[in-house]
Amino acid sequence: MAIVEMKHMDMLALDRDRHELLAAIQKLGCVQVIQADTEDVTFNKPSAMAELPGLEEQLTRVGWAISRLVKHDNTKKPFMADKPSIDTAQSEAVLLQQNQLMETVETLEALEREAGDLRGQSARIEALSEQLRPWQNLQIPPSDVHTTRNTFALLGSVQKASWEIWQAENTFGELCTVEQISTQRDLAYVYVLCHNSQREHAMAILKEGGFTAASLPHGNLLVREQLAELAEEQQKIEQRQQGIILDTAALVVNLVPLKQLYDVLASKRARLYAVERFAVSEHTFFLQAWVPETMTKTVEEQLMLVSPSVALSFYDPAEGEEPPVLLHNSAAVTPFESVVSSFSLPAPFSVDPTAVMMPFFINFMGMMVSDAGYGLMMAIVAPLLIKALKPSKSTQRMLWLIMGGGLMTIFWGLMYNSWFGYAPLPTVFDPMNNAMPVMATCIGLGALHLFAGLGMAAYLNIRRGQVLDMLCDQVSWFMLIVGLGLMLVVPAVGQWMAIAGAAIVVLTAGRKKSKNPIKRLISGLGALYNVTGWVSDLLSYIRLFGMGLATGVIGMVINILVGMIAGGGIIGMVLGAAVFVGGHLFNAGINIFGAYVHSCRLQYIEFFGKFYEDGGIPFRPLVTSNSYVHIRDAQ
Amino acid sequence: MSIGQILALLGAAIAAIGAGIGSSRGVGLGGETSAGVSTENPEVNSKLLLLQLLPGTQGIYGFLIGVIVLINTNVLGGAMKPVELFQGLSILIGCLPIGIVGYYSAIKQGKVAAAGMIMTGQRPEMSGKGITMAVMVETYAVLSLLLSFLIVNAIKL
Repeated sequence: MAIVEMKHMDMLALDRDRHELLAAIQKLGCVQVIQADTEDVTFNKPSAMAELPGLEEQLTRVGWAISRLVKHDNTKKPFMADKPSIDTAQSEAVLLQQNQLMETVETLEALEREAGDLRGQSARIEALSEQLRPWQNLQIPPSDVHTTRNTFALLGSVQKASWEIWQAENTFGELCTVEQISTQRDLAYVYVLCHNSQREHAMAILKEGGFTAASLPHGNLLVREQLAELAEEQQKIEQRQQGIILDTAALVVNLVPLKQLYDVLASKRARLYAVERFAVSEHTFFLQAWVPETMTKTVEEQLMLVSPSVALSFYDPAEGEEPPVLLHNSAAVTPFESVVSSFSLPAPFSVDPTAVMMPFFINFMGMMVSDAGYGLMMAIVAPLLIKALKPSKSTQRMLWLIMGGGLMTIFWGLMYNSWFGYAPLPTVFDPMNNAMPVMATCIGLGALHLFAGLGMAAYLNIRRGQVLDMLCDQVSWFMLIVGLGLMLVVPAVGQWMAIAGAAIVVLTAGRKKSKNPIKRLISGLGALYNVTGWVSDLLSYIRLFGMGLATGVIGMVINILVGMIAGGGIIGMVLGAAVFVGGHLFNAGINIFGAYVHSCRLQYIEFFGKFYEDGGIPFRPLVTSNSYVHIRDAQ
Repeated sequence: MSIGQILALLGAAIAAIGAGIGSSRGVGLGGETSAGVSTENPEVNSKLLLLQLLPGTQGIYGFLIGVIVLINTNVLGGAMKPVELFQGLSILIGCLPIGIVGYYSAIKQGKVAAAGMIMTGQRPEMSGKGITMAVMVETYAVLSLLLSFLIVNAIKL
């Protein structure tokens, strides 16, 4: 249980060794490069960052190409599996292939451009066809529709109703023909041919009918033939679009090396970002960093190996400086670090609560899942999944955590005597018929949890040499709460203990707020009001009972349902088995999630509330990028 | 059928209905928000699913109390036990905490979960805090579940 102690590292090295040194640091993965702070005027040369914009652009393009190709990737992705790994030699091989891979990216970009052009063409053809379609029965090419010396000709649409009236009443007379080519909804598409003498008369009538002139492209071909040509063109475009999809799919073979290239380049970018923080002179550079204390020896050895001329010095952080926070725990406790870090990392010089929290965490989880059958499932399935699927580190930790909860679930399942909702054994705790002992146990465990929190606060105070603070802020409360509890059992002892505790609180709680003794007393009395906080904290642990009860009763209901279904012959048996498996999986799933979340809450609010100092900034060493692949050392 | 029996069944119904409606609304609101946030940031979808699940528990609690009433009155056994008027009334009262608190807390929890989803969409690393905030509301549903259970279970038929 610890927050790893951090050391400052100063490094002065020759500029020509820069590349090798940075690569070595990245491989070590335990050095967080920070902005170098030096007032020496020698180090005023801006660091050479000319490579960075080009690299950023290349990364964006490679990333885009990957997102394109992933859609065509049909290889099966194993469930939950970790990302693949490559070693250093492979990463160098990928860099050698770089030009070839960038050609692939270019091809993909060209295909994308072509696809865009084709979409545009296709839309244009579609629009044109839409325009031509009403005229496909026109018996002459549109270019032949024009005025002559004595006639004028028009194409356009009018209201269908008007046209019908004109037809019936012969409105236009002998010197005008208005031929209907087609109709669409309430419009009639007409070809008007008139003698010039009738122009004004005809135009007036047409206007009344809502005439809108149509402008058709002046092709020499019949509209029908034009449409056929367009359709043919459209078909060609569709063929090419299919071709583009196939061409893209054919490039999928490059997906794996492209992913590797992405991470190799992204690792390079991370190094360049580190370079940005250097102070640089003509021939040297100056680097400042955080290194975990335990790693200083290794770092020194490795860097000396790369460049014997490098000058290194390690020293403690200055007063008031906040080093980044890295937690380190034994293998059994490590999975629970995620519970702490998803709240907030502890402040640099406080305490890592993970190890103390872990037994409470799995115990509470077990009480809330509370079915030995589910517990067995958790404790057996989680390690099997880790073995079989080799998932990523973070998933592995989650599964270990579930396994831990599973062990305690088996224990509490035995206590409650609940096995997949059945009760085959003698019961120790019976929440259904005798709730009081269970509730008392919950509150008792809660008190233990809260006192552990109080103990952590006391530990912090002692470590900082503030024994008085510990007596006033922690021992007093411990006496008060234990005393109040004892009053139920041994009133004489409990009474005085509680009074003594309360007296210390009233007298001392205001000691830092004011020098005035009366004001101190008033804020001391105010602090005593915190008793209500303790009561509500303790009652909060009743949820352990409530959640456990929910699991048990739902399990029971599932079994009652199964019993009803399974009575009806073979089909009933099969259906009953399905309901049994599905129902219990659902119940286990929702309750494991609920138990995890509520167990977290009990840590964050009740436990951490007593002592936790949050706000640590996570340690972010310079490491290789692993968006798609892990880059590891060959050894 | 006696009035007492009807009151007991009414209680079971209220527990399931109140908490069920609340959970439906809470989960529904969560789902709408989740869909919206996912269009902006599809990678956080699985985290949002957990948040959406949270307001669903009240419905389960209400159902659970309802089933306990059915078990205690032996409706599930096929032949309902006789229930006196005051016993029936007590069972009905016992069902009210989870029916009413379940209704309100599920809706409120849905709103907190939805707000947590928006937060998660913009800062995925905050999803744990979003879940914690929503769980705060759940406390009161758990407490009312317990009270309902204690009352309903205390009535011996």
